[in-house]
Amino acid sequence: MRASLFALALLALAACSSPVKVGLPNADWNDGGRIPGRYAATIQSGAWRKDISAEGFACGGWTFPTDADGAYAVAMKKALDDNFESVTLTPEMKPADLAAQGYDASIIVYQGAFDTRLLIVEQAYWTFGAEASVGMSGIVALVGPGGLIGQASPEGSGARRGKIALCDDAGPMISTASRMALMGFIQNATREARALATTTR
Amino acid sequence: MHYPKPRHKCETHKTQRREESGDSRGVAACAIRVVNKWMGDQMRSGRIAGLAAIVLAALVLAGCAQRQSQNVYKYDEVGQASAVTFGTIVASREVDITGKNTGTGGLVGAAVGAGAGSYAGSGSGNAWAISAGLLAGAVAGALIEQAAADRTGVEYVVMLQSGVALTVVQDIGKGESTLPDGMRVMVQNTGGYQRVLPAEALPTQMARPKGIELVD
Repeated sequence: MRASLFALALLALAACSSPVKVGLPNADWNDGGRIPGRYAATIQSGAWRKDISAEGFACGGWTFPTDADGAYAVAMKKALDDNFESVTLTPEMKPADLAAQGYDASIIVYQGAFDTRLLIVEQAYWTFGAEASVGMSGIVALVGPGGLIGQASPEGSGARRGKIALCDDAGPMISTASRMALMGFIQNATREARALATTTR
Repeated sequence: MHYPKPRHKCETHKTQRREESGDSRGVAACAIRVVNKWMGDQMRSGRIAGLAAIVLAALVLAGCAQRQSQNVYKYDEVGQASAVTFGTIVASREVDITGKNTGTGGLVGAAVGAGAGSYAGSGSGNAWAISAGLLAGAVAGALIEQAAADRTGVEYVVMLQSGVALTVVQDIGKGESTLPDGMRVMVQNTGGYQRVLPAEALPTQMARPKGIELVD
């Protein structure tokens, strides 16, 4: 009887998932004021969504559908606005069209890897802890009327650990780790874009 | 006290008493004895090669588990829209991919090695045999798992339409072929995993898709 109840509980737990909402990262970063000029910006999005599964015996069947895309697109645009005089979101443009439309250059940010890991460990007898770590990488490029000016590969990472009472409690840790990774990626991408734009001026 | 006839070979009156009192140690001990006896039978009958073959086959099959590739999508990618960027393959080359060693091979190998060693020698010699078997089994298991997980893949250098160049390493799935240099491709990003997919059949220009205009 007890075995049946345990099996039923395991099955019920296996079917669970907790959607993770990633909040807006604080990506305020500005070093030396806004760079003058009119820039077109293409921010790729749609790639940083995935189901994260827990590693370890506990919560092994639990999944955490995580969507970092929404927060990323908004925060990336804001970071560019804070660092460049004029930024307009556009589809990817041909270099020859930039000057014709009055842009000095185009900033393109491609999404790359979205590495995640959620480890559930037993810290003491029936006391569990969760360790969430997230890594993000991508490519930032500056394209001028004469073609590609330069490109760089920014990265960001974040980690969060803590005690959990229920599997569901690991969700906020994934969210925090993702937000930290986004913040690092956006700051690095903006820093690289600034460096590329500065070299051309 | 009268106890019924044991239901299986390793059941004793002692284990029956434990079961009656809700103590599961008897069951666990019984299970261990059954496994040990089975391994002993395998050893004595010279079927250890068969046992090792089963373990090896399991490890090799684990290494052959389907991975994401051009034509293989994970279950959680179904129904998800993915970002794509167009480009051209500039160059490609075959590369070695070091597979992920989960440690399962080492653990299974250690268990098999220790089990095999337990039937060799006696006294302290038996303990040494178990230790040696455990160590040798762990090393062999880890090597076998690593060998099963290692594979070859292809590294593409792709020039995107923006002028950005990137490299992407891809697994080559069963029945899949590498893409030729100069081919128009799209780099698809799903949850951070990037696929290089052929795009030569796609148009380079098309009329804007029409929406639905509401008319009062």
